[in-house]
Amino acid sequence: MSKLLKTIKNAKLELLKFKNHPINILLDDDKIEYFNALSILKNIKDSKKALEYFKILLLSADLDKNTDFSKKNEFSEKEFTKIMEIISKNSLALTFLLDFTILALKKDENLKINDKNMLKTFIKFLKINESELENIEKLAKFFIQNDKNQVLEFIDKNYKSADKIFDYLIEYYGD
Amino acid sequence: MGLNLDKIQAQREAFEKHPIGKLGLQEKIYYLRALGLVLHIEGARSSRPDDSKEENGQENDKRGQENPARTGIKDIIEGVLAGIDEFDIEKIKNDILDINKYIDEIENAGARSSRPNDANGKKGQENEGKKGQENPARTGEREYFKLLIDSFGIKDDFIIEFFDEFEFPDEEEVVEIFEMIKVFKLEKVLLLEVLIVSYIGEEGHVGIGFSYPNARTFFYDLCDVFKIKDGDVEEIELLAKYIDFKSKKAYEVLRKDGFSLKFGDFEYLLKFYNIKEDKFNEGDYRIYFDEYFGELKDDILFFGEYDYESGLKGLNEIKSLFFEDYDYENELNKFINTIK
Repeated sequence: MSKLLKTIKNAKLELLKFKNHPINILLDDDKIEYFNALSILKNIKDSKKALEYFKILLLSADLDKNTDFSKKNEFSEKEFTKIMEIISKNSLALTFLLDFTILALKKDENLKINDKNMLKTFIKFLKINESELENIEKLAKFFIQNDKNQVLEFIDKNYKSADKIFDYLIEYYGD
Repeated sequence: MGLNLDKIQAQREAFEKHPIGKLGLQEKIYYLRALGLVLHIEGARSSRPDDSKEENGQENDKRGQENPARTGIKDIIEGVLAGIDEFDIEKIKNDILDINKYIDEIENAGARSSRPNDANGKKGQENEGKKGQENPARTGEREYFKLLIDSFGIKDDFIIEFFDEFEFPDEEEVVEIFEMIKVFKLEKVLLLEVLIVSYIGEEGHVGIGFSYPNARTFFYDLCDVFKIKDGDVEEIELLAKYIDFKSKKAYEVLRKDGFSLKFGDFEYLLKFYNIKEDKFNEGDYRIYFDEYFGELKDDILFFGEYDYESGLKGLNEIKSLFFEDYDYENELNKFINTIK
C-alpha cells in the first residue's frame, strides 16, 4: 500500500472512532476483556471491513489499534462467565451485542448459524430477552449501510427509555 | 488533450457554475487539497511506467490460467440468443446502436495488451512508445485542475503544489482536510469530482469505472469517512458514470424524485462535458448498448484481450445482427464455433 493511502486509511480510522463509546467506563483490564469477548468471533482478521471496525473500536477505547486479540478466542467457562459479568455489571450488554453483530455482519454480510448461536449464548449470560437480538441485528444493518435516519429513528423508537445507551451512536452521526 | 481556445472558453464558463466557486477562499483550498489527494495515490492514475509494467505482468500471468471469458462466453451468447425476441431490434438499429464504437474499442483493447505476437504489432509498439513521454492522462488531470483553480480565482501557481511540489500530508493534516470538508458540507460534490478526476486519469477510457484499485479504495474510504449512505454512494457512482459517458441520462438521474444530489451543484459538469439533454450524445449509444448487451460485450472485449482476432470477429458478428439481414441463430452459432 502506498504511503499516502496508508496515511489516509489511518486518518479514516481516527475520523470514524466513537467519541463516547460506553466501553470507556471500563478500566483498561476490563476493556481488554470486552475485546477478548468480541474476538470470540472467528476470523475477524480475514475480513478487511470487520478488522477495520475492530480497530475503530480499539481507538474508541483508547487502546492501541494494533493490539492482537486473535490468539485469545477460546475461554474456560469461568473466564467466559467473568467477562459476561463485567459487561452486564457495567450496563454494556446491548452495546456489546451490537458491536459483536456489526463485526459479524461486516465479516459475512449475513449472520451465520455459529454467530447466531454465539449471540444466543451471550444473551443467556447477559440475561437479555432473545427477541432483542432481532432489534440489534436491524440496528447493526442500518449502521453498516450508514443510514443515519434509520439509525436515529430506530434508536428513538426502540431505545428511548434505555438510559441513553446508544447516545454514542447519535453523537457519531451528529458530529 | 489538445484543447482549442473556444473549448477552453466554454469550459471556463462551465466552471463558473462550480458549486465551490461561490464559497470562500479557505473552503476552496480545503476542497482542492482533498481532491488533490487522488492525484497522488499510487496507482490511481496511469502515468507511471511501473503501472504499465505491473499490468502487463498481471496479464501475462493470467494467460497461463483458465480464461473465464472463454469458458462462459457460449452460455452468455446463448442467453442473449434466447432473449433476443424481447429486444426491439429495429429501434436499436435505427436509433441507438452503433457497434462500430465497440469495434474501435476492441482495437484499443488490443493496443493496451502486451502480447508480442499481435497480428499487427500495435500492442507492443504503443506500450513501448508511451514510456518516458508525457502522459496524456496526467495532462488531462492537470488541465482539469488548472481550469478548476482558474475558475476559483486562485493564483495559477497554486497548481504547482499538487503536481510538482506535493508533500505527503501526515495523518493529522488528512484528518483536518476531511473534517473541514464535512464542516463545509462539500462531501458529495467532492466524491463526484474524485470519480471524474479518476476517469480523466484513464485517458478518456470512459464508463469502465476504476481501472486502478487504489482510486477505488480512496473513493470508498471517503464514502466511509463522510458516512455516506449506501444508496447515495450508488447514486454518485451512477451520476459519475453517466457524466463520463456524456450521456443525457445524467439529466434524468439528477431530476429523479428523491435524488439526493442537487441539480444545480452539478450543472457545471454537464456543461463542461457538453452533455445535451435534447439529443443522443456519443455515450448514449454505449449506455443503451450496455443495457441490451452489456454482459456479452464485456465478455467479448475481455476475450478480445486474449484472442484479438476472434474478439474482433465476435463484435463484427454482433454488428451483422443489426445491420444486415442475417439468420441470427445461424450466425451466432457460427460465431460461437469460431471462438471455441
